[in-house]
Amino acid sequence: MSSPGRDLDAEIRAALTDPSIQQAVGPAARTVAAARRDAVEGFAAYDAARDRARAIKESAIEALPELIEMAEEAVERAGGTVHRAEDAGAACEIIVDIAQREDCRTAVKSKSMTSEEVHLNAALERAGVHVRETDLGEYIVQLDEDRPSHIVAPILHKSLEDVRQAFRHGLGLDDVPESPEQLTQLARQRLREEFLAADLGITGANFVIAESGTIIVVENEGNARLCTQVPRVHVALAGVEKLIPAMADLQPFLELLPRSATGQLLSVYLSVITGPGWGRSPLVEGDRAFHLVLLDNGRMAMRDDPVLREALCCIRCGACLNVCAPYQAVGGHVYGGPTYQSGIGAAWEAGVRGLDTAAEFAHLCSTCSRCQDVCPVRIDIPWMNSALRGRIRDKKGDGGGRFGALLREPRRLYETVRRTPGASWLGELPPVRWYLEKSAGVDRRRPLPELPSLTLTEWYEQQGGAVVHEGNDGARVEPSASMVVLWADCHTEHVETTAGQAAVRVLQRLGYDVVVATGACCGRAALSQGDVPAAQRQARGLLGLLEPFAEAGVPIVGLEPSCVSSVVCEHEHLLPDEPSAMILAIRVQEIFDFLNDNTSAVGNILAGAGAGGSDRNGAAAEQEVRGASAGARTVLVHGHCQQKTAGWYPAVLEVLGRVPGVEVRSTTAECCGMAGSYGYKTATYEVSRELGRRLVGELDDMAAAAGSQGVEDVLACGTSCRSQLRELGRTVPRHPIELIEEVTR
Amino acid sequence: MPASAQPYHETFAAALGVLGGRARRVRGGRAVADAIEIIARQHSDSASVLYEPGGLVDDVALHLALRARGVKLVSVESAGAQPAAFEIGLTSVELAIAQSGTLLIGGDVGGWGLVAALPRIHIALLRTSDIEPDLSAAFPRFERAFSHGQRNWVWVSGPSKTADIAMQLVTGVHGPNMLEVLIVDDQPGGRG
Repeated sequence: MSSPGRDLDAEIRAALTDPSIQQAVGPAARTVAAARRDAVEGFAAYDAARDRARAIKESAIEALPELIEMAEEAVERAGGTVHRAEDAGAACEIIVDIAQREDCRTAVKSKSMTSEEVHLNAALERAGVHVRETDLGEYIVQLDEDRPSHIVAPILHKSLEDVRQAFRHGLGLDDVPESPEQLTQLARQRLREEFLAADLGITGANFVIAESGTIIVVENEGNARLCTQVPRVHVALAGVEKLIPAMADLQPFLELLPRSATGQLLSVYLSVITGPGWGRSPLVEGDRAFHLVLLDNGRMAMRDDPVLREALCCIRCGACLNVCAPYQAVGGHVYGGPTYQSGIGAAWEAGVRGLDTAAEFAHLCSTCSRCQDVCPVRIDIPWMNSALRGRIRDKKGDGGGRFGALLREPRRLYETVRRTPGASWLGELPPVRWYLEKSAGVDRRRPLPELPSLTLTEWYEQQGGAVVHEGNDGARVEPSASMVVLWADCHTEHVETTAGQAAVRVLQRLGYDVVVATGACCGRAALSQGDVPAAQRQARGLLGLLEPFAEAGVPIVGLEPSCVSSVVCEHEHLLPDEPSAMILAIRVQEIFDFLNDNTSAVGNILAGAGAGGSDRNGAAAEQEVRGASAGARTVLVHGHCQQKTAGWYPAVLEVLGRVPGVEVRSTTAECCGMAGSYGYKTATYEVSRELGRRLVGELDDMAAAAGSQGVEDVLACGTSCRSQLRELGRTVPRHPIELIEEVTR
Repeated sequence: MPASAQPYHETFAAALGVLGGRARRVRGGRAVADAIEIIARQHSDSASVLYEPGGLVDDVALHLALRARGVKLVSVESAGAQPAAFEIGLTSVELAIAQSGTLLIGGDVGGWGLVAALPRIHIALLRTSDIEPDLSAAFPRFERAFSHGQRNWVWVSGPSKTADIAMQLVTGVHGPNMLEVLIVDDQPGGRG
C-alpha cells in the first residue's frame, strides 16, 4: 500500500540492523548478478541483441495505439476477449466482473508485478473470490502477509528461518520442515489441490504479440502453466507496454530476458498462448475462456513524457536491482515504492502512482550507474533518476539555501573555503556542522575534505607550466601536435592535487607538452542532485574552456571518472543542441584509457620500472622480481562505478598489469557508497557508510588472501572512493596514476 | 553454432544433463518401447502413461509394443481421462535447441498442455533431425510453424525449478521433477 509520510530514515536504520535483510539480500543479489555476468559474457551476440531489442521496444512504444487495436482484433479472432483498463481501479473492476460473470469462486495466480501494482488480490477478495498465489516466493509472501521486495525474486529479503516461520504461521503448522527441498514439496502438495479446484487462473504476460494476440509467459516453476491450462477461465493482465508487433520480434528478448534475470540461457518454461487454446480440456466441462486485460494506469502518459518514456522499454529482468549497491544494503522494501524497486522503480512509481511516491525513495540512488551497464535494453536509469530529482526539487523546493547551491558546484564550494580565512577548522566546529546539517543536509558525522595550500594549477604555474583558466580562454596557448590537455576537474584542482601532479609528470615523461586546464564544473554534482538547469549551465561553461582544444584535435585527459563520464555520457542529454559537445565527448578520455592507447610509449617508460621504485636499477629490480615471485608486490584496486559503466576500468587494470613486479587484484564491489554528495547527505549517510564498510571488508579479505605483508598499496580511481576509504579503511588509498608516477621516476 | 564440434544430439544431451534432465539416444521403435516401459514400471504402480497424440507418439507400432509389455497408454483426449491422476506424461517434440537443452512442444488437441505439466515425470520423444544448434537456428523454424497456424506452445528447458527459498536450487516445484528425452535416431550418418 502506498504510505504517505514514510519515515525513510527510520526504515533505513531498521534495514541496516535487520539480520535477515543483511544476511539475505546482498549475497543473493550478488550471486544472481554474477550469474548474469557469466551468461552475457558467454553470449557473443549480446550487444547486437540489446540493440535489436531496444529498437523493437522503441518502435512498439511509438506505435502503441495501433498495436493495441491490432491485439484486440487478433485476440477476438482467436476466441478470446480484450479489455482495456484505464487505471488500477478499472483493471480490478474488469477482472472482478469476469470472475462474477463466469461464476468463479477461487482463483490461482502466477507472479505478476502488474497485478501487485493494481492491488488485484484485495479487490478479488472483497468480491468474495479467494485468490491463491502459486509462485513459491509469492505463496510465501501471501502466507506471511508480506510484500515482494524484488520484481523477479519476491522473497530475496527472507532467510530460510523467515520462510519456515511463514509456513508455520500461514499454514498453522507446529512442525515445519527444515530444508528448502522439503518446504518446496510441502508447497507443491498444498498448491496442487488448489490448482485442481480453481475456477479462474490469473497470470501476467512478459510479452504480448500484437499481430496474433499471443501472450508469452516466462517462468521456472511451472505454476504459470498450470494457471493458464487447468482452470476454465484464464485472465492475463498486462501493461500496454508489453506489446511487441510480431512473433519474429520475440527472439532478442528470449536471448536477453533469462540471461539478464537469472543467468539462464532460457527459462525452464516459456508458454506461448493464443486465445483459449482449443477450448476443450479434460479438466473442464464446456469451453474454456480467455481474457486479456491491457492496463494503461499512467503508461500512455509515460509515453508522452520525454523522461519516463524510456522506462516503458523495461522487460522486468531485475538485473539493475541486483547490481544496485543501495538496494543490496537495504533491500527493496526500503529502496522501493509500493510495487517497484530501486532506480527503475522510481521511474515506474512516478509513472503509475505519481511523483510524490517516487520522491519518497528516489534519493537513495547514488547515481553510480551500474544499473545502466547491465540493462538488456540500455535504459539510462541514472539519467531518468537525475531528471526525476529535478522534478521533485521543482515541486518541493531544493532546501539547502546558499550552501546547498554550493554543494551543486564543487568548484565554487572549494573556492569559497579557500577565500575564507580559517575555513578548514571553522568548518569542523560543531555549531557550523549543525548549521550545515540543518540548512543543507550535510551530515555532521562526515569529515569535510581538506584542501592543500596550493591548487594544482598554482603548483603547475610555479613549475613554469602552461595553465588555462575559464574566462582567460585557450587563445594564448597554441595547440600543437605534442600537446595534451590535463583537464583539472574541481576535485583534482582543489583537493586531489597530488594525483594531478603525478598525472602531469607521467604525461611529461611520455613526451607530451602538458597544459593544465581548469574552470567550470562538469555538472555532475548538480545533476546528481537533480538541478538540471545548473548542470546545463556548468556543462556549457566547461565546453567553453575545452572546446578550442577539442576542435584542434588535442587529446584531453581527466583523472576523475565521474567528471569524465559526465562529459562523455551526460553532456549529450544536457546540451542536445550543441554539436561541439559531441566533439568534446569524443576528445575527452580518462587518463588510463589514454595511457592504454599509447601502449608503446607507456611500455618504454615502464621498461625501467621496478616495484621498489626509483632507487633501484630497473633491470635489476625486474630480474629480482622474476627470480623470486614471493617478492611480488600486490596492489589492490577499486574501480570507480561510473568508470566501470563507461568501460574504462579494464584499461586501468591493463596498464597496472604491465608494471613489472606488481600483481594487481581488483575488488568486485559495485560502488564505494560515497558517490559525491551521497556520502555527505544526512538522508543517505548511513547507507553510504554501510557500503563503504562492505568495500573495506572486501579489501581486508583480499589483503589477507594475498598475505598482508605483500600488500603495499590500495589504489582507488575516484575522489569519492578515496575519501570513503581514507575515512573507513586501514590504508591511505592513492590514485593509480600515483603508482605509475612512482615506478617511472 | 555451439562452440563444440559435437553432433547436436550430444550437445543437447549435455545441456539437458546440466539442467537436471536426461536425454538418451534410442534406435528403433522397440528401444523406445523398452525405455518407456522401464520408466513406467519404476514410477507408476499401474504402469499407465498419459499421452498427448501427435508426432512420434502416434506410431502404431509403439502403441502395440507398449500394450504387449503391459504398459497402459491413455490419451488426454479420451473420455473420462483424469490427467491429474497420472505419474507419467508422454509427448512428442516439434523442435529442440541443443545449446540450451530446450524442447519446443506445440499442441493442437484439447488439454494438450496438461500432459507435460501435471505429472511428475515427463517423457518426450524427439527426432534427431529436429535438433537445431541454437536459438537463432531454431527460432525461424518455430516462427514458421507458428505463422502456419500452430499457435500454442510450451518451451521446456529441464525439469521444473525454483531458487526462491534462501537461494537454494530445488528441482520439481509445480511442473515435472523428471524429464526424460528419448532421441529417436532418424538420420543415421546424417548431420545429427
